Amino acid sequence: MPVEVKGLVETKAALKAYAPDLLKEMNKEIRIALKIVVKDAQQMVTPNVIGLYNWQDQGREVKSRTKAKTPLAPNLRAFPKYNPLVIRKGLTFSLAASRRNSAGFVGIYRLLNKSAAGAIIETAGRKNFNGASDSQSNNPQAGAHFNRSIQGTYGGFKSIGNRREDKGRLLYAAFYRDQGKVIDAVFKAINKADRTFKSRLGLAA
Amino acid sequence: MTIDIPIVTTYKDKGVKAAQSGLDKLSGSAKKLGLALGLALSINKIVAFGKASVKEFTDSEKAVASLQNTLRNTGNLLAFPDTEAGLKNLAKLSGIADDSLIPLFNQLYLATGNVSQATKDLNTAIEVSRGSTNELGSVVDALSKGYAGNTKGLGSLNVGLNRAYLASADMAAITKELNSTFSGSSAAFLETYAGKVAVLNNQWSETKEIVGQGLVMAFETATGNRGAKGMTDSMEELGYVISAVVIRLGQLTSMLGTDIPLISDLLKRTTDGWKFLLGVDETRREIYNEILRTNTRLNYEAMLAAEAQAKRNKEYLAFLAKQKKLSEASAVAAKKRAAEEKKIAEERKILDQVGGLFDLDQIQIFAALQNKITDQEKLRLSLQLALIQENASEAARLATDLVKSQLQTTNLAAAIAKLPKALYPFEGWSTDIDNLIRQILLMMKLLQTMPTKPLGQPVVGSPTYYTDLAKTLVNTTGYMGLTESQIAEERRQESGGRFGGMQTAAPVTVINVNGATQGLLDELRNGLINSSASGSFSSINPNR
Repeated sequence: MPVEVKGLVETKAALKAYAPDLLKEMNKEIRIALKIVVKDAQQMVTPNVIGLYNWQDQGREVKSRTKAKTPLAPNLRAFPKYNPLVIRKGLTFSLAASRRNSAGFVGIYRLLNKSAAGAIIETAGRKNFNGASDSQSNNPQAGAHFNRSIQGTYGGFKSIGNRREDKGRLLYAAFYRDQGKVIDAVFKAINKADRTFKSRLGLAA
Repeated sequence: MTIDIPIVTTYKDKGVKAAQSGLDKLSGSAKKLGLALGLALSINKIVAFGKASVKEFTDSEKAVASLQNTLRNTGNLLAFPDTEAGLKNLAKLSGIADDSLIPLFNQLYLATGNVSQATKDLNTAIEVSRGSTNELGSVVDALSKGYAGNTKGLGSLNVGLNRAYLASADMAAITKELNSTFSGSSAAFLETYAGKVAVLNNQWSETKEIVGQGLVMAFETATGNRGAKGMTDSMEELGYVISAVVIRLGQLTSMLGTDIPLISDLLKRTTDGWKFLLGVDETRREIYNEILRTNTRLNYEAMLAAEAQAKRNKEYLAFLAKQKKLSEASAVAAKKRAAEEKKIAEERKILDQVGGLFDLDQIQIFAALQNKITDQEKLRLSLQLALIQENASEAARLATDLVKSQLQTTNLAAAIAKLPKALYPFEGWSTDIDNLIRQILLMMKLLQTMPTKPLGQPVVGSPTYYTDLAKTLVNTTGYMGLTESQIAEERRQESGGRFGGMQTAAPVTVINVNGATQGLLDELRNGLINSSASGSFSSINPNR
């Protein structure tokens, strides 16, 4: 679960303005902590998904099977193929603040799974694991087969919260296995920078 | 889709505070509105109604005055009554207040310069506004800019007019296109609930306007000649009076309990009483009369203004005609003056030329030129003459020639004087030639004395070459024991006779065959076959 911090934005702004070296040092430590989780997730990516041979990226350009490109949708993409290199590359982190969400929260330090195939591995079957009950497909069991194959290769979802959206197979699982060590490291870095900054200003011992 | 797992977040309240503040204000406004509604019959409401009525009237009057002023300034005051009536009618039909329509009409009128066109365009703008999501003001603004050549606003209305069309079409075509697209939009809107509400609102505004006009007239009457200060004092007094009346009415109502028919009856009686006491019907008539009077006065003013304008126009046209006549006369005079000046200049030139004949200096120069003088002197005199006649180009040319002549004359004379006496190149040549001739004659004599042919030597090509050669070879090595004739024959045979003349030539027989016929050719062919043992022959065809 994400942890809400009050005053972090102000602290970062103050560090940037008055002690950029401390901000740099703090970001460096946070990067190291976040990279551990990302590396763990990247190591989980398998060369292929057992049972989904045709999903494997063969290096050919893929056309959409469901829709044709139109002038209104010239950038229509096909269903993304499974490419472990692309998925690993998409697993990363960011120290830049995100946009404010509808509840008013802003993500300061974030773990990201940017690739489309990676997002599929992460979330496929999170809503309807056995396929949608109202599926209109000619092959209504295809979804269930797809989810089970991924589950067979990557294992089940790991949850880091109470909501359905708080669970996944790659980054979520890595974060779950980390058992909060990354958050601890991040806070240590923040506190260290904060303390050093205050001591420089003579505000606190 | 990027999966984003925020591990550290913060709450950002920017915007939330503003929203909260806005909600608080809205809540306060709602409370105020509730209070206002709850006190519908309170003094505040009555006074507010009075104020609103007066405001409606003043706004309308201001707009009308603006329209009147615009039309007067553009010389169209005569069209004012009809225009005002038309706009008021349009306001009633469209549900848009006339004091809103008049400024928009003004804008269009200033853009088109035509009352009729501006009215049509205003109708079009209302249709477009009702048929699209654009504000009426924006549509009018775009149309008026379109008349000035700026169609960008029309494009931004998003009413189906593309840039290419706007660039190529004129405003007549554009308005026609808009009419065809949005015709009937206003009527359709007025059929809706919102449209009906708009018409009612507008009518309510008109009502308030009439009430406001009545109030102003009443205050003017009440205050007499005390001006605006008196009017405001009266309004205050009226407010107090009305408030006292309504408060008392409320007290009476509470004393009478909740008997509704009784209250209604009481209110009706009170209203009738007030009507009787205040002469409401009379006042209403006065309002109508005042409106009529105002309109009549305005019409009369408009007529006078139109007459004045026509007079001014006539005067201006006369002034323009006069100006044109004057300018034409001025042009003719200038042309005549130029011709006269040219004639005078020509005459003066002739006179100068003739006058030159009697100029003593020139006469002397001409006389000097008649004498036998050198070229240089002639140049000098010509130059002097050119200077007297003020002929600059000729003077310059002659001066150059004179300088050249002087330089040539002086330098050449000096060089010739300094040259030594030249030697005669052909001196003594006659003696040499005589000697040469003598030598030649001597050589000729010697040649004549020489023999024509070398003695005893054979001459190549002569008929006696081999005989002469034999004479020289007799009794020499290789020819021992041979006679001259033998040696000569031997040499002739050996050399093929090519060094001496041939004694005899071989006889040649020439046969000319003319007009060879096929028969003759056949005979030849047969002869060749007979003489040939091989049997093969050549075909001879004279026609080939």
